Amino acid sequence: MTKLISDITKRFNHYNLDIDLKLDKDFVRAFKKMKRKYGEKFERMNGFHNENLNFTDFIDNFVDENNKTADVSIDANANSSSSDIRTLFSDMMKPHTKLLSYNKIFYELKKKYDLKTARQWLELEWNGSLYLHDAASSTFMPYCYAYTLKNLAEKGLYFIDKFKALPAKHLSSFNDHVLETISWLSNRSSGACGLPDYLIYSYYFWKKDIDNNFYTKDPIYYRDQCFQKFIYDLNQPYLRVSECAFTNISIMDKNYLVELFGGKQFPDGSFMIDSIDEILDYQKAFMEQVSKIRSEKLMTFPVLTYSLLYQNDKFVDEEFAKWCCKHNMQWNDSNFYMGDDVTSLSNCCRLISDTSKLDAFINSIGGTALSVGSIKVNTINLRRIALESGMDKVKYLEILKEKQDICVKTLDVIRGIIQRNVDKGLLPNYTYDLIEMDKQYNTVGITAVYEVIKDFGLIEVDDFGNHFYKQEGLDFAGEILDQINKQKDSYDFDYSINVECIPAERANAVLCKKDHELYQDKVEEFIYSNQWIPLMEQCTIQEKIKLGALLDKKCGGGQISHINIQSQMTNFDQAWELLNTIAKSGVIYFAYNTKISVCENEHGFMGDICPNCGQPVIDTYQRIVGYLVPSSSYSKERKLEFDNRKWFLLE
Amino acid sequence: MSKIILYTTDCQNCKVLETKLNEKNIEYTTCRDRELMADKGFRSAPMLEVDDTTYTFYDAVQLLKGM
Repeated sequence: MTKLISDITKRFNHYNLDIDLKLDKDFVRAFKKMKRKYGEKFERMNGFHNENLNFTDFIDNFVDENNKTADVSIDANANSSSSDIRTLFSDMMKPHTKLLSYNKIFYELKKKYDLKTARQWLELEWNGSLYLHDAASSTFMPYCYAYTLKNLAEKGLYFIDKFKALPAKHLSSFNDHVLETISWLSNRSSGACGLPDYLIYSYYFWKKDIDNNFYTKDPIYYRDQCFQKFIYDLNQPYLRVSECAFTNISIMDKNYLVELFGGKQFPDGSFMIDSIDEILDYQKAFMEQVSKIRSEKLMTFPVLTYSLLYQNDKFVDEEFAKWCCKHNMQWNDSNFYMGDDVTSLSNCCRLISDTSKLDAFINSIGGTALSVGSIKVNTINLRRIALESGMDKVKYLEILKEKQDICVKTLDVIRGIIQRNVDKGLLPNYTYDLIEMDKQYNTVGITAVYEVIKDFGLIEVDDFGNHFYKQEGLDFAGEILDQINKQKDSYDFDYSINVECIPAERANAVLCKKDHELYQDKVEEFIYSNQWIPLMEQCTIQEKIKLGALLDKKCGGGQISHINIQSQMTNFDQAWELLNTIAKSGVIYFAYNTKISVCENEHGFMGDICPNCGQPVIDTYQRIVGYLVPSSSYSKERKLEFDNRKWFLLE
Repeated sequence: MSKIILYTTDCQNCKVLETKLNEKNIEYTTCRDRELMADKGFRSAPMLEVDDTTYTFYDAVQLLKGM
């Protein structure tokens, strides 16, 4: 009643300013039609309700102490958990920039294809058949990229107008340049900033300092101090305006290092191939510092991925693989990428960068490159199609084909818009060749495969409550993915498209909510799964591995299998055997997920009482999707999903 | 005197190995026959054949370091 009176008082005390917002007339008509057809709930879910668009309402909601950033923002993630003035200032703009982006996409679809296509896209996006990621910045900047630091090491901050710092001479100044570059790049892209060769160049500058007697105390102390400062700096929430930049660092085995860097030279002309063994040791030293810091201050970044070559049923660089396996036992904090050739590398968010598919990379044997990424991700809600198909497989595949066509055309016009932004000089990250657009995919996302298979009655549960795909279910999942791949390869564009089973930190809650609104009781879930079997469903580890082995390879853009384990493994032989079993089964990309406890002093530990200070656990860190974040920062739906996750107990 | 063959596709890695062989004034012949490389079971280039022993790029560099 009090709130009602307050709202009425507000209404009488406030007038609206007439502010012009010029939008395409067909877009405005279609937009209004969507508002009428789908109602207020969909307006809110899309971030287009007056409460979202009206700055004063947004501010009221944001400062309401009962709301979390993850629940108020239209584009939140657990990485952006603070609710200070900086986050408010950034997030209040998002509904408006999203509206402008939609208008632009609609206009370009109409121009390049036709009005019908534009209208179809808006409706699919509005009603939750499609989900455009980072929609609020979708026509402004690209998504993600794995950057090489070669130019930075050789030319310094050559891309900063009016203050171009010369190349670094020491490790400390190189690290500062890297941080400044990450910030500059992350503010001109919406996704991850992969740094696959950071440790290569970091090694070079460290070695140079040591050779020149430029260090504090001793070489090892100096190296570790630089690592520590760099890691702490990466986790400061300012690199991307009000949040941490999403950074990813690769830890590569000898084979990857040789293939990717063997033909390259350091800034002083020396060959990288001559330092491979030293770089391997340097990577290990970095990881030791990462582990040490976690005990002192549990952090999220960088996301770490071991890239290990696996051929003929064994790790080619077995010694290094064993080291990775052992090291990971402490925190289970790294992803494992186990490719059977070196043309694929996971170094950019969860994107598997299969460089062999990009025209720009097809060259001689062993020819490959680091620079690869994605312009934008547009996800198809596969569950919605099941609901629309009446559980008719033929009809399902027909609807899928139509929706994928709209999805691909949308990505196509977004790419064109980004290209024009580059042409107008708005994206200097391209102008200065830090990103090359011909090395970026357009990414078709997919989600809710499990829910589709379940809808078709093709999931079975054994006497112990474990969930399995029936053979027919596995075949149908394969058929869906095969069709998506075949169709994406059928377009005659001068760039590549890839398919990713998306992490969907927010998307899977929104899409599920929209499906529930339209299909009510047919949708019992509150969130969709980003795994072949939801983390909330009980299943055997064997089934999880089997599905990963069979379906992962149909997602060239990536799918990570999370294996939730109750506690850390303490027996190396057991850990090594499990790693080999997973690799042998054909799983390409996976991570163990364990609850890491934190006390009030932010120390990381396993268990209930902090061994450092004796304080009890107050929060836990684990992967929400791809990176470690505290469960206290999860959105309502993610929190509920997390509370219901099943954990494997390894004996 | 050993018979040395450099199997090359002229990629960056191949060029580095070639440079290193030249720096050491080592006499060698080059082979660019990809079919032959495939027949020999090579999965990457460059490869260095010294008499009957084949070395990968990394191993060849280690070998040259000791020469």
